[in-house]
Amino acid sequence: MGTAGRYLSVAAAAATITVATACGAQPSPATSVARNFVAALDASDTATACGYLAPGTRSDLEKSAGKPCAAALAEEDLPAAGAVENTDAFGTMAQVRFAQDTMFLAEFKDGWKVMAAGCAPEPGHPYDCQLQGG
Amino acid sequence: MRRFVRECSLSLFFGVIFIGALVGQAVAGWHQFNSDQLAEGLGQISLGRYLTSADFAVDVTENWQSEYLQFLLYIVATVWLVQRGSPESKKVGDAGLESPQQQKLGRYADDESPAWAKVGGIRMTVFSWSLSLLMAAIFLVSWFVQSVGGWATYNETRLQRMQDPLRWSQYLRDADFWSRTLQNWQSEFLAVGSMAVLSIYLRQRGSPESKPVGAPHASTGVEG
Repeated sequence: MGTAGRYLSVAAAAATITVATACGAQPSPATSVARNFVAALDASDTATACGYLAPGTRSDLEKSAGKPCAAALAEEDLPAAGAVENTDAFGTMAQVRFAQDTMFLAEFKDGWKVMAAGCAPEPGHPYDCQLQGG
Repeated sequence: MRRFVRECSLSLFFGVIFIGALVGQAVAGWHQFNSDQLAEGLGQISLGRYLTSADFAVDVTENWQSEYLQFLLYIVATVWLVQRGSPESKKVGDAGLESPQQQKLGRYADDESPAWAKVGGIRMTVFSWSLSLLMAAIFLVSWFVQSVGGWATYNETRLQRMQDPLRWSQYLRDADFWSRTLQNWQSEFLAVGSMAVLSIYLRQRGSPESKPVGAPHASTGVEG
């Protein structure tokens, strides 16, 4: 292989690594956390569900409700999410679409956490979320 | 070794400062990324993770693609376009690919000419265009990597704002991609154009990028 061929191979490898890095961020862990959050809510286990919330989201929920997370989350009446339809993950953020809900998750040192849930699309605008951090 | 350093000091100098600047960019970019994450109440990442992130990839390659495009356009444009008085230009009237004799091709090559300048055929043609071909290839690959890295980092931002991510094909038509691309292109074109014009009237003693200090402003294609 000539010099030009070697350079092109390196460039192709670099491009492949970049695509893999950009596209291959962990959809499975984010999807698992979202599913576990939904499962905890379906089982009315809001204490466990609170463990899956991002710190900012949990803090804002408790402040706005004026009560601990488990009690505040029980009063949120989030929609039944249904089955996972699609997950998109880019860097430290992910969007998990369920049949009847959309959630946004963020990656922290201790894993993926739910940043926003009960999100409905607003054409031309950000999602309107029932539960979200500031 | 000393001879190597002395005879290759130009490339060694730029190689060292390139690596230094890249390392500095990586550290500064990592701190900036984490600062933005903290401000948004999001998780921070390690330097190692940042170095493999789309954010770092796009910040590096958006600059690389414009530099190689700049060189590609300059190398090719100076074949056919001239600037009277500029040391960066061929003499007025010499525009074009020039004769085989002027370019030492085929039977006009001498003993020290590269082999592919003598052989003729496709190899001679490829070698005749090898500099612009490689610049074009590096430009296209780094622009592609910029597009993928930019797409990923833009979508990460969109998700932070509770917006749907874009497909890559949508991102190629998005203002973020073209803003990143064109902000780099304009500066490169300005720099090259400035060099071509300023070197008509200004001098740097000892530099091959300048005319000799005493050379007339109207002299074209003369190096110091």
